Amino acid sequence: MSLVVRKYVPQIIISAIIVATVAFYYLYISKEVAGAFSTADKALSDWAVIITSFALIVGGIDILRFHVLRIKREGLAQAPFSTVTIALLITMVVFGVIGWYYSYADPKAGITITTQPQFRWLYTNVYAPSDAAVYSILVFYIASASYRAFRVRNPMALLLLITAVIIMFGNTTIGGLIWPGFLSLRDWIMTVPNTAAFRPITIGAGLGTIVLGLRLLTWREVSWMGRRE
Amino acid sequence: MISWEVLGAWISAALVVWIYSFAYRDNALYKLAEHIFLGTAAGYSIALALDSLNRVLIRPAVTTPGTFWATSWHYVIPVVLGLLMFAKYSRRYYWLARYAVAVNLAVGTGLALRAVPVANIVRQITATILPLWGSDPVKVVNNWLMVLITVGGLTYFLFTIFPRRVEGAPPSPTYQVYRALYYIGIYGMMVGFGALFANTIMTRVGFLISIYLIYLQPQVWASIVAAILAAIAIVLGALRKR
Repeated sequence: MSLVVRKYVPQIIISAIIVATVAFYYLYISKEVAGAFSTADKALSDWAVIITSFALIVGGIDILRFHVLRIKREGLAQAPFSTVTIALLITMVVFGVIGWYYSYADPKAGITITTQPQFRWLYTNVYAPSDAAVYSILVFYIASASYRAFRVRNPMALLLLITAVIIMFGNTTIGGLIWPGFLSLRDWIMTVPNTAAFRPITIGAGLGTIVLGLRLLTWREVSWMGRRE
Repeated sequence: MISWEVLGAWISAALVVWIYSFAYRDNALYKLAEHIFLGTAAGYSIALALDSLNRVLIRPAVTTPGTFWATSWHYVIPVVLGLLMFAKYSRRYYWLARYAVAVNLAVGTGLALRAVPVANIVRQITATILPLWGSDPVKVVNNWLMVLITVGGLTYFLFTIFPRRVEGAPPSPTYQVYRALYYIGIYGMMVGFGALFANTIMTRVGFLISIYLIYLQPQVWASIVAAILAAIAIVLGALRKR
């Protein structure tokens, strides 16, 4: 297929939609046009939701494919683990689909995809605790990182250490018992220097987003296409 | 007979302990817990995607077909684009998936481009325009600090071309001002990072405590049994490596 259809048409779509989305927001011609713009804007957002849903399904299928291939490639050593992943993935989806079916077959029961009883059980007893544990395991790595970060090697590291200690004492009850001033000092740090320190970062991130948007608009950003032509 | 509730509590406690066992060393039970998490997370994502599709597309099309096809017929386009995403598995037609990605990327970028200039730039600049003289000395000092640290940070991040200093000659006023702002920016950011780091530590420790209270404390025996099993898995793993 020609390069136009493979590469240039998607880029034209990107530029057209970016211009349209920005125009829908900033342009005002008349009340009727503004109403039409608002409808089109809502429709585009819904389009994105629908496409994202398909993308999530593709992602799930990718995981399934990856583990099937892994079992084939690595054999018995990997098979029990990958089988568990595949089985649980399919189980969650099947329970979700059962909930979906009941949401139409028996709407009065109040069962939906995410409130199906077995689905909820798996969510509450398997997904939620393991998600929380995976997230919080980082505390052990933060402990070692803080040891390295809090070693005073120069005035900047000293400032970082002092601020962190004040904030930690200010956030805990023991800090207030040691010296009540920790609370007001913490408030001052959070309101003045902390706000001022993150303001340039916010401005920089904003400029970065605008530059990335302009790069996409002008076809300079092509990494999203994946494979090179 | 064990109730589903008790079984769930035992599984929760075991999963938490096995995932934490990785902090000491990788082992078979951690790997099992990791794969269990992965499977449920992927399944949950797909279920949420189906729920979204149901809410935006299928339910309106089934419950009010007349209104849906009159006003929302164009939803067929994202459905076709979504289905084109599966073309990424084809060696020949992989590029078809780009159409869907293009629409999503463009909507995201468009939304960001209309929100970011105001929220990230204009509002931040207007919030930094503060009175530097006044009757309240505390407020004046705070305002000076606010302005200097913000301008210093901007100097550090954005104005990345440092003024040149001529060899042997005394530093020019521009150089001195630039250097002062540069260091004010760095020191200001160190205070900010210190605060961020402290808050991160406290959040994670809080999270750890809540996990202990919710999942481990109610089922002490489950936690102990899981910990013993994890210890056995670690020892067996170490023996096998030898």
